[in-house]
Amino acid sequence: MYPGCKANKLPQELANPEVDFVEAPFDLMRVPGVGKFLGWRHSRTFLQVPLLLVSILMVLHGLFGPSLAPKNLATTLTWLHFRGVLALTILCAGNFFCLSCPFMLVRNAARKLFRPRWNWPQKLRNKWVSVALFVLVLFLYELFDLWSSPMWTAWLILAYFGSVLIIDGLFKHATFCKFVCPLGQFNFTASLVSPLEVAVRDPEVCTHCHTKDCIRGRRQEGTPELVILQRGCELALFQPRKIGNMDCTFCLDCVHACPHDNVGILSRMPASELMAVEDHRSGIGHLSRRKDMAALMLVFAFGALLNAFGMVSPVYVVEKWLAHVLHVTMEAPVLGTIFAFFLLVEPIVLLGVAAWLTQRLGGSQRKLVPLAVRYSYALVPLGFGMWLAHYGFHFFTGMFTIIPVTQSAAASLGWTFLGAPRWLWTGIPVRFVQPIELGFIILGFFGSLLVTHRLSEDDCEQHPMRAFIPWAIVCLLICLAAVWLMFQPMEMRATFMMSS
Amino acid sequence: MKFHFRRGGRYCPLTRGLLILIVLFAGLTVGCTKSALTRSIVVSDKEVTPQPAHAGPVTVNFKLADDAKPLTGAHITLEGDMTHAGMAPVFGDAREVSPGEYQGQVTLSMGGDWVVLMHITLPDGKKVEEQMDVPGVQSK
Repeated sequence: MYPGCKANKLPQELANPEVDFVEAPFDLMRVPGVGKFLGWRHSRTFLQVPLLLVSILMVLHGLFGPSLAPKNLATTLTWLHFRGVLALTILCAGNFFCLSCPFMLVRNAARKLFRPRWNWPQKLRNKWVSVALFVLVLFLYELFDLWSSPMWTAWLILAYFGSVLIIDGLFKHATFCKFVCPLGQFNFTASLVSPLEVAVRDPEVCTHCHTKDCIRGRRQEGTPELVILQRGCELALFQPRKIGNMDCTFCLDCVHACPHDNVGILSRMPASELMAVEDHRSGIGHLSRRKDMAALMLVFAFGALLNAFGMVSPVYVVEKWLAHVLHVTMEAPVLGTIFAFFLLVEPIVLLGVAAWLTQRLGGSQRKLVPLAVRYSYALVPLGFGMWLAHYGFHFFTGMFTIIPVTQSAAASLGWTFLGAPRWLWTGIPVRFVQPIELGFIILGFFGSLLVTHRLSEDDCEQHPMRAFIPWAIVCLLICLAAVWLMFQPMEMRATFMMSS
Repeated sequence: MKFHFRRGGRYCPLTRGLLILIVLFAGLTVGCTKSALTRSIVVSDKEVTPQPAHAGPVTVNFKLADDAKPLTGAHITLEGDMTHAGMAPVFGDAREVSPGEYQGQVTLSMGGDWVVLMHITLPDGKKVEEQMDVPGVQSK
């Protein structure tokens, strides 16, 4: 697989007669059983229904169950299992959570009752709204200590369902997924380093295709109203020109719609699409020209550090100091200052200096902002490494807690057949999990270095190392910060003002 | 030009199924909520030492009264939980140090916000649970 190219599209270099063999990519749709299941028209619903039932259970337990987070399904499943499994799935396969998203099941059911009439406003067809919501979710998570409140967690899930119904009830296509959903943006960004992507098997077949069902869908002919038999891509990704996983929900509508059975779930080199930021992508354009998309990458990368920082001891020292300096007793302005530092000051300074050095040392002809936008994508592997380390830690160290919490929930309903809750069943000991965390961060670091190097080669053909070094230092600083955070005593305290 | 799905319709099976499931789950939960205790068991003067609490062993003191009279002979186990899911709870026993006054010890395994649950078994076998917040436990 050639970096930055579609799995089975041969770049010019590979058309060289010296290269006589190109291995066909692995195709998940060709795996016996799995392919048949995913090719089944109702496979998505089949995956969504269990998640919807679990979501309902979480909401009910969150609202009416125990108020203590470790004993409630809403907090345990949301903040331990869901986040951990999600990140690991994206690392090992792809964006399969969006495939089985229960919100879409409810949306589809609601769309039977009322059909959306409007198109999403042109000015909002970018990632700015979702970036703002992503930051807002991170902020509310810290401000209201969502991890420790089953009730707030349940309301968050309900708010999600409500938002989906309102947005996609009013606006056509997959507006919520593409332009609003903060969780979806997280998944899209993280899946840029996934090993699998939904892609065309043989581009040659597409050149002869006149129906373009993968994006238009299939409609029944000969009826007064055009009846849609199969949706095309609701996120405006035209398969022959689609590159990578950005904006792809793995809904497999294109797979089902293609009359030539020419769309599969193909393997690729993880993060390779981050090296192709100059290529035009269907439904997205050029990544290198998308400031909104770059902002999403930066929030993803620096938000990973911020989210982990909120859980360790030093944050309370910083918060107390800030409260003293700002003369405030409320947490919101203190948190706001920390957020501004992590998500604005830090990225602007680091990327600004690195871009300036790239110009001065490497002789890049690009201006500062385009350079910063371009290299912001290189931080995704490192950011994902940090998210993996953080979410993986909670998941691995608490993976078995779902058993006693479920036993307890069943017992509260009078169902004793599951036995007494085994509260001491937690997970893998921290000493075994820490090396895994370290591995995720280092893996992300090397991924970012690889992408950065490739970008600097394109940027400064004469002196690629001179362009590479400033960005490598940025990556190193972030990596060191992540490792430092990982070895800090974790406190997960919610009451800094009270304790101050 | 209007598009609609073939399986559309006001009462499609999917929509009906979802509504039925939601109603079933809601009914199940509402019907199974716990009833409140009728006895006037009061747990008072709850305190943790040392203050501020640090990760490691802490002593929990409290008084137990039934209708304003010291309640003696209760069997009490302590359970310390973090406010974040996924952390192992810690356990300990409390013993009666004077009539109606109890003392126990638990070893808090890390810094953060803790909650100590007192599982109280009364002399007549009835069970009561009391919660005590221990916020801001500092790391070692």
